[in-house]
Amino acid sequence: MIKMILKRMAQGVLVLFILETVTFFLIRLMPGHPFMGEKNLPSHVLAQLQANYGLDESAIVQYAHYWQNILLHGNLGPSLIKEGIGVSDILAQAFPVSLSIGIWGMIISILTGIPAGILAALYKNKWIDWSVMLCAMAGICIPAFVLAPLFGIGLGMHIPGLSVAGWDDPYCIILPALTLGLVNAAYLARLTRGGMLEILSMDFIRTARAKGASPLRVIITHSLKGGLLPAISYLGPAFAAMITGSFVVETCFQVPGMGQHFVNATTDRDYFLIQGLVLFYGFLIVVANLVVDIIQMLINPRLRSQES
Amino acid sequence: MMRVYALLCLSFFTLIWGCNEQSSVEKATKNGILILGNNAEPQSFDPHIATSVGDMHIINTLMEGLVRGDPANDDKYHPGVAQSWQSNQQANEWIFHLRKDALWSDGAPVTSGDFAYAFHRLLHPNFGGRYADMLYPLIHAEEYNKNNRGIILCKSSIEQLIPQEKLAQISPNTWNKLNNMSLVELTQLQETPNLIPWAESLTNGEKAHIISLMIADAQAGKPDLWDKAQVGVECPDSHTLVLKLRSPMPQLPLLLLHITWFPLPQHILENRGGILDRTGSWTRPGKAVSNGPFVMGTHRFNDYVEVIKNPSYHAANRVKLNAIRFLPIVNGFTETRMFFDGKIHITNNVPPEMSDLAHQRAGNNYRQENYYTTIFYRLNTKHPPLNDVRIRQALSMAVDRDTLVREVVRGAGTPAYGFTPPGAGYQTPKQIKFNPQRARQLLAQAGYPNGKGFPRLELMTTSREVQKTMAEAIQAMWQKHLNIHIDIRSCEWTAYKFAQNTMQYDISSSSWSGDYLDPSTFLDLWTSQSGNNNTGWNTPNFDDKLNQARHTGNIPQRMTLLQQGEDIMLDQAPVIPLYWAKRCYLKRPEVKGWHPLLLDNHVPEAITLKESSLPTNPKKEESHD
Repeated sequence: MIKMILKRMAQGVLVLFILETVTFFLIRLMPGHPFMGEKNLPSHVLAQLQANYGLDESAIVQYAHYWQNILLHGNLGPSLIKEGIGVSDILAQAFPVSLSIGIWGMIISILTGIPAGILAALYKNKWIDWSVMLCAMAGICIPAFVLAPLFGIGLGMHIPGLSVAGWDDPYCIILPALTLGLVNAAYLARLTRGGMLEILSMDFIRTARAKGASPLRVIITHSLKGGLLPAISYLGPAFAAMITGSFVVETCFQVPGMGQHFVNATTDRDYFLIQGLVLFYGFLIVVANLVVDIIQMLINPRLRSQES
Repeated sequence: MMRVYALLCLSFFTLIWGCNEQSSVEKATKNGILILGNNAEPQSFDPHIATSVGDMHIINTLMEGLVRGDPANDDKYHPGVAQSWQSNQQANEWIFHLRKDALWSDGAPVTSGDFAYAFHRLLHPNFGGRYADMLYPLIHAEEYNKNNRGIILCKSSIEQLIPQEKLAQISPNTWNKLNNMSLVELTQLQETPNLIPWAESLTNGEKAHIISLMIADAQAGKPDLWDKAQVGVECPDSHTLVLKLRSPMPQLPLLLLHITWFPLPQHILENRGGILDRTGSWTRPGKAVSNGPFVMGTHRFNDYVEVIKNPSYHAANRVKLNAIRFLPIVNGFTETRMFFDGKIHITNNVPPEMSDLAHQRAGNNYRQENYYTTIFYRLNTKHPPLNDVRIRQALSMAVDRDTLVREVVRGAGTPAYGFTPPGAGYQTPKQIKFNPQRARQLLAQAGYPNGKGFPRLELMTTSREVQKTMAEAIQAMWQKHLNIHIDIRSCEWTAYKFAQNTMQYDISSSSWSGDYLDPSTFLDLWTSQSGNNNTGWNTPNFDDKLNQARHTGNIPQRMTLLQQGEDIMLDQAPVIPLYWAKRCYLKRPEVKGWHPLLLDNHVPEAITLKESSLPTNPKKEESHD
């Protein structure tokens, strides 16, 4: 199993390297440059600005410098739009915000999505199943940019304590986390239902029931382990995505998280910030997938034996 | 299981129900904090690096220039760091007497040297100041900023062997080549001077003189030429500043309100990376030094910027606010919701779609005020058939601007029948008329009767919703009145800007805001020298009128010349003016001393917060119903 983990880690490093390389060259192919302002820049000013950040060098030299800075100095480079501020400074401020919303969102989605999925599976083709799946379908179909303002107007405006948007008191986290959580809960519910249905139809469940195990025991000890596998493999990357923030949720609720930087950095051509964010996000995805792999191996003995 | 859930939910709601008796705005008002929506996240608080309007709003609270704006009139000004000033008869030499009690927030006095240092930095050719051209009115500033080393060296050499007129005959291209030559290339040139084209009048001795100056310069490693360039700023003593201009400028004080003319704390910058440092570390919270009514307090990215009252400001007793908080809210819908939830005192922008709702709910607190901005379409006059003036005029005449403003922009503008927005005592020549019949005639004369055979042109817009709807409306107007079809292409901002700058477009949705209150900030755009023209159109007639206007010190005469210039421009129609924008925003009644301003540069010491009797929290209001 340790060999397997090491193998996955090596793969992860390779993935990150390729990801970063592709990003590096792709963003330089986009039209325009980071110093595009409202006004046109005189050519001598543009040349000076590019020279300040080494952008006058060939792409290969820039690429070498970039890795040199990261590997030798641990420096992700400066933001080209916010001059004087490092990419790591921006990450350090934005990530905790996205992380807290993501964790709360995760808790909400697990607490609602998984029980709903189990219920739907247990009452297959009954009204409970239909209503859960209707809600789940709606949750998947209604985009966050509709859901967020609806929550803002429907809940934020009317319930004292909740606010429509902003980040100036601890309760501001509720609506963004709810939006993020419910959208993911919808996926989770569907995946859990599917996984549970598959397990519940298996022979060993019938055996357990025949032996006289209580319905609760059948669900918790016998079916959950296997039934949750699809949900768990979804949860890993979903968690990484949730804690790195969503542009839509952040702009609708005016939250200073990472999602806004992602989109703005791209439209502003803030090369180093894009690369830093991609690297960070990629790293989280790789780690989350690794954790999911380990958990699945722990739960599923078949996987363990296959690998070894 | 169910019981645990129910308990969780119950405790959660009691928790949030029991808290937050006051809205954010109520708390802030009590503490003397003004909360403003400020569009996008700021890029920099360094006045030489910042370019966005939002950044300038913040810098205007932190720094003070020679003169200070008026709370209610854009064209009035008051003493700032300068206590008094006078100009000579031609208005091309100005003397400013600085006040002795003007201090930086670390206690050091603001001196004339701080202004000279600031101008030096912004103009420094190796600094890369985007707004350096704002200082070009200073004599010799342009050649220093563009690093025209040859001209500067010749003028400043002690012998001054070559007369100015002869220097002017050498083409800019030749100067450029000379400036960029390395020592080796220059030595070669010394042997065979005719490697580059010189002006014919130049003698061999004069050429040799120029080359020897350049060689000496290259040998010295091409040092900074600030001292030799003799840019028109002098400091006879620490509290007197003399500005020498390249042409008469009776309107100079209005320019001085712009952040590019502000002083910088030389003593701080020299300790933090020197004159070329672009990191702006001296503006960051905790290390910031400024000379205005406020100092930098906190900055959280995408969250807020808070500036706090500066006790060492010379007029600190007039400042009533304790702090101003700027929120970077790009989404106008979110911002409007936040206003109605009691989170902001003044918003930045109400989207046209919410205009009716805002008016209905906020009444007089919803404001639509004139703004010094023109919304227009650029036409690429290099692309046929737009190279034909009749086609351009026809397109312009077929736009029904009244309908556009009423139905699409929802009153957030005034129909523009000229280009420069009214203001600053300038009467815009309004010669454009909505005349579909004449437009059809012009189109027919140009060879497209009833739009037959008219090529499919593309109208480029940014991805902003308003721009897209506007483009659709105008597409329909052209279809209806001219029977021609235009395609719409909307691109994200940088791609749009890139296409516009490189003239890869047919028609481009554009806007322009004045940097200071003067028609020339709008008309200079269309000269052949302008870097922002991007239409491919220019004509010597127009350039002449603007040049004459620049060289006259007589204000009424200057305005007439500018009007004549604009007349020429409008007649040639390189652009289609659509409307003059209004700033639409929501303002809470607690905010006093906030007046409509064309440039939207509010003077923070004039603003006060008074707790109002109006309910500030709509939730409470509703619970009484």
